[in-house]
Amino acid sequence: MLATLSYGLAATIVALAACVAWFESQLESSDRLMLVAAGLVLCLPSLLIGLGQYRLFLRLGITGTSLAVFLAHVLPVMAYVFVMLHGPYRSFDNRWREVSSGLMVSRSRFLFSVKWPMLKANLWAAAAVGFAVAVAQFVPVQLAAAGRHATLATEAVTLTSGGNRALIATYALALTLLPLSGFGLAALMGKSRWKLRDA
Amino acid sequence: MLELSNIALVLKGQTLIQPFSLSVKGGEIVTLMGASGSGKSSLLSFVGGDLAAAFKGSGAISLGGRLLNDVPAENRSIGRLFQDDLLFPHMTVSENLLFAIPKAPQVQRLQQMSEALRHAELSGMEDRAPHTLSGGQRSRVSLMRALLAKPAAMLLDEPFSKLDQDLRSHIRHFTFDEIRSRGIPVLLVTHDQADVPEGGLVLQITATGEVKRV
Repeated sequence: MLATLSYGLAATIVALAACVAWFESQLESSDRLMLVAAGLVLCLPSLLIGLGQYRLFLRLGITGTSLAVFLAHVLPVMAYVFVMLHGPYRSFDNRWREVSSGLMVSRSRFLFSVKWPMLKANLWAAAAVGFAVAVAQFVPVQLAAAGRHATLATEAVTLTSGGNRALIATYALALTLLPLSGFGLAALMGKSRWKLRDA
Repeated sequence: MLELSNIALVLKGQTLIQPFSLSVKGGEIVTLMGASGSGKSSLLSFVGGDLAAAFKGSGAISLGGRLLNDVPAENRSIGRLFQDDLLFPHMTVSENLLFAIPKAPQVQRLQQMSEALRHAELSGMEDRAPHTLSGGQRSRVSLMRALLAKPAAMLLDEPFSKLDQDLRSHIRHFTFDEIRSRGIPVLLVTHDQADVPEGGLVLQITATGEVKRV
């Protein structure tokens, strides 16, 4: 549980930061390559990706380290977060920036006080999906962990070969509750400060 | 004085606006007219310093004798108004205004804020969400917000085109009066002949991108 939570959170935070940094620093024209890459990660069977990753990690000599386990989480999370943020980020009206420049507002103040608060529902939703994806990672993680690290997903699969139904059910419940609380948090944090009846 | 010399605009190798020069005195409102897609708005973005990367602008922009070409947009002291009021939706009316007021003791900033609201006949609206105001109220808040930042020039991009006909002339007068009283140079882009201030200079962007005095 703790392992899943920490790998999941770390992968989500890193993926979110990386995607936001990309969108803030790169031109829209360079998104295509990333979208294709993300599409491949989402479409290819995870066994293929997992095996490729495993061979790469072997070469790098990091198989079985927590770094490898983290990397196995971060790749699919990054792909989902990128695809989810692409639309809202690129359709964000540039006039918000222009009107802020006209108020002599610096870029960082614009990001923290205008753009990110306005995108907060999208950012939280992307984070919740990313976290859910991380919690569910099995094949690539199992391979990268080389039996030295366990997460909820890998433990749950291992347990299914045993007969302890109560224990399996507990794991299944935990596997549901973690992403669910992620989505709950996102719904709470992404809420507009205005009540609907005001609209 | 806002001075543009040999300003031109190119989009992906295609000339949008041919080189032209213009100077706008303090308190003067110069109107730019042209078909949609003629590059009017992009021209304003270029002057303001937030031109999209697909465009290329050239020529010198100076304000009060200071060359602005290499100055970041937020340090140019050029305020903007758009077709939409662009009030920050996650802030109240007063937060929107305070966001624009330069650093000063909080008492003074609050004073400036309520003074601006009173001036725009919006006292008591401090804690309202922008979307609960009427269109005319929102434009007034938007104008007040722009002016509270104490801009040295203003760029107006069809600021009245979304308002109802009867509200339009009222807001237009209010806007022009407020800006004129500050004595700052203004560039106005519009489709509507009625928006042109009386006796003001009008420039027309032709289909070939020439900028002609009307």
